[in-house]
Amino acid sequence: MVTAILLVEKALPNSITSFHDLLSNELPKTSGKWSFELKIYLNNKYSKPDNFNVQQVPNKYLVTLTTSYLPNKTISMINNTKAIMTSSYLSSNDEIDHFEKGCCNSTSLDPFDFIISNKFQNLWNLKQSIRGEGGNSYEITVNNLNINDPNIIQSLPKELIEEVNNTYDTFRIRTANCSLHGSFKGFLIEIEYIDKEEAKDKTSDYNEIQQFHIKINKIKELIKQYKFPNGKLCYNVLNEDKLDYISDLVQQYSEALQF
Amino acid sequence: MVHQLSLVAEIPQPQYMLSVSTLAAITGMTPEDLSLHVVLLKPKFPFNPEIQAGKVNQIEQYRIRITSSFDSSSGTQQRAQAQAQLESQSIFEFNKNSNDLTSRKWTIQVSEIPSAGRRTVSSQNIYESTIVNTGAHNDLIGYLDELGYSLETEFWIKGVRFYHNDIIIEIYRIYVKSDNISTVIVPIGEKEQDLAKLYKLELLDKTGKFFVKCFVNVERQTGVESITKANKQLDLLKNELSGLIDLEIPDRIAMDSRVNSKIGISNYNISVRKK
Repeated sequence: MVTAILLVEKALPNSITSFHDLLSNELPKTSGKWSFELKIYLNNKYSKPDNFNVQQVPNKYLVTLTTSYLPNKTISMINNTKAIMTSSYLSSNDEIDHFEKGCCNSTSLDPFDFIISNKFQNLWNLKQSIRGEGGNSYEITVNNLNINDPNIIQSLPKELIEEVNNTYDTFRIRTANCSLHGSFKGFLIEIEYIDKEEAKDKTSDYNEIQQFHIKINKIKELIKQYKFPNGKLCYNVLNEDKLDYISDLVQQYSEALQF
Repeated sequence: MVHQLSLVAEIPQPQYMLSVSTLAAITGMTPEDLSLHVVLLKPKFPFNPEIQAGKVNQIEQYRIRITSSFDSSSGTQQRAQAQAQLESQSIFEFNKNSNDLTSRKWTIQVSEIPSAGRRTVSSQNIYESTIVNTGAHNDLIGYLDELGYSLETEFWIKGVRFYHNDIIIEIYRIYVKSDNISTVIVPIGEKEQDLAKLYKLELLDKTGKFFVKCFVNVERQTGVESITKANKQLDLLKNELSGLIDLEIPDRIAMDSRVNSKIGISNYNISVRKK
């Protein structure tokens, strides 16, 4: 799953409505409201090696992302390097198995950001809490998003470009108004390229990085052709050797929402 | 957060079979296997906040504990009694390519010191969250290092579990790794493989005694009724087992996971062998 975050900073609280009207022309499937919360923690400078002054301790950031579409999950990332996802409610078979074997005391656990805020105060202090809400989740299928970027065309196999041009592409789009401690900070659009069912997808013969470039370019074409509002587009990944949905998602939110 | 009420005991090895049979009779169940790999981590750096007049500073430094189950391939109580030859990889040799350590689920846990005061059972708050995905780098220990924690020690718990009303009863022994190593080939992906060290585990307590822990987890500390009920259940069990297993309140100071704790012995050292 390749994702990107578009943050429209020069927006008004009603930009989200105009965008809804714009998308409605493409007859999207809407799947209702959603929300997210991004918390940014700064390292506590008093936790340090004895031979360091407080001023010598470099800044480090820990961010946690919770979204309503990944219920009971907290994704956290430290200093743009390592990410994990934790669960506060064990429900899948292997999660229940983990509980039944005695590894934890309940299936109803604590959100990781709650533990950080309450039990790791010697290490991390909450600096910002950004909430996103008031938008919708859509799924749209569009055609003719052809790859136009000459660099991409040059660097990828010709057959692959032909394969992905003149086809249908499906995207999940989520919109939200972002607020930092109550004040409006911008309009966020999360765009996810929905992979085609494997049987129909000949691109799976190509490697992950090549596919990634195609999908990101499709997202860029979508933004351009359907006249999405101008903003900061974040699509960096946490580890260039290995795409990972949750790691890349938290990295993109964290990059987009730096105030 | 769960609020855990507990009582503990020790039983000498010869008493193990009788205790297990008695508990099987009381609970009406055959015991379940208990095989845990427990890792303790402590903050990497000391925490010395500025002391300012009038500013209350009560930030604690907790150790954390991560727990997963390990394959001990011997579920029966007989095998648990006869010293099963247990083997495991060590968390100190964790690397993102190797082995079954990375593929396991781990629960991260922070425990507060048990409540003070005169009580009939120990009562303690425990915060837990289960790690379900270790991200693009698949490097849990690397993440915990960035979080501010370094490995302190590891041990293994091997024993059995019973359930009686709301009470979970565990009888187990603690194992640590020995110097005795066997090397095995572990598949990494479909094609690659790696050499991993398997340590033979040995008993921490050479006399072979077992630990017994009886506990009830109450979801919220505010559930006064559930706490009263749990207290009663533990009290009944204590009376029922007295003479065979003498349950008592665990030493509160030994249950303190804080670094540089002001109570008891400072920097209470968990006496499991270090790396």
